[in-house]
Amino acid sequence: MTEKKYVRNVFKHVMCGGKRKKELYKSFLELVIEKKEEGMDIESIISEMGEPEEVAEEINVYLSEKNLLVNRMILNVYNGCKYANILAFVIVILTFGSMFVKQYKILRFVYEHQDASAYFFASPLMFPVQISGLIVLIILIIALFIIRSVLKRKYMG
Amino acid sequence: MVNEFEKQIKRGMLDIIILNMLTQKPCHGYELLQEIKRSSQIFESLKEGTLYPRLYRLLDNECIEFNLAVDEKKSKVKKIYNITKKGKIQLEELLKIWDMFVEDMSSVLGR
Repeated sequence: MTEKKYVRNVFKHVMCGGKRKKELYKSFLELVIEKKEEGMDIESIISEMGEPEEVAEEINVYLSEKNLLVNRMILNVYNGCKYANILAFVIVILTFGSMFVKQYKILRFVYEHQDASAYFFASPLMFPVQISGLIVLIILIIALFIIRSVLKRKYMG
Repeated sequence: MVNEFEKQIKRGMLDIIILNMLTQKPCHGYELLQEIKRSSQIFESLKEGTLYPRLYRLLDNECIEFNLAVDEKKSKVKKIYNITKKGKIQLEELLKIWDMFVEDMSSVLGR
């Protein structure tokens, strides 16, 4: 058995996808080649590294623990998006409410004083900060909703 | 079942031992393996194929880090592993859990 065949045998039993598998394969091959360059024969390399099935089992355990960690991170991101979405929605409602109250007061003032120039102030231009804030918040709500949907579809199927 | 239980316990123990050894001095992988084999009966027959996945896990969790150093004798670059601040905190936590388990199991099993 050559050192490449040994590493191939290990990775025959490793359960993970392309890129990650390639990275791990490369780093294990480097280790094995290093040992060969130090003058070890393949039997000694196997006795130092372990039988292919044994090594593969440890790599699989490492990968499953890593997946667990990634899943936990995804769940945290998902929940973060959910709460940010609720918060943004509440702010939108409050801003709309305050704008409505202000608008109502202005219109009432115009009605009571019959001052046509006040119509200008009652226009939406009166609230540039609120309106731009609302636009940003609505974009944020949509973005968060899309992120949540993608995460749900991809990882929580 | 016994075999699987032993493997699981060993994996947990190995994480603690690696972190503890790296608090004493930074080591490269092979040096770490030899140290562990020398100092522990349970890990006398520890293989590199078991050690490296544990090192990868600790690296992923940012408990350890590595620096590249040139081995002048062999003119090769080696990874020297070192414990991080997070790793030291984790080690403290793990040792507390370990002590608690040992104490509790002794009292439950009456040994």
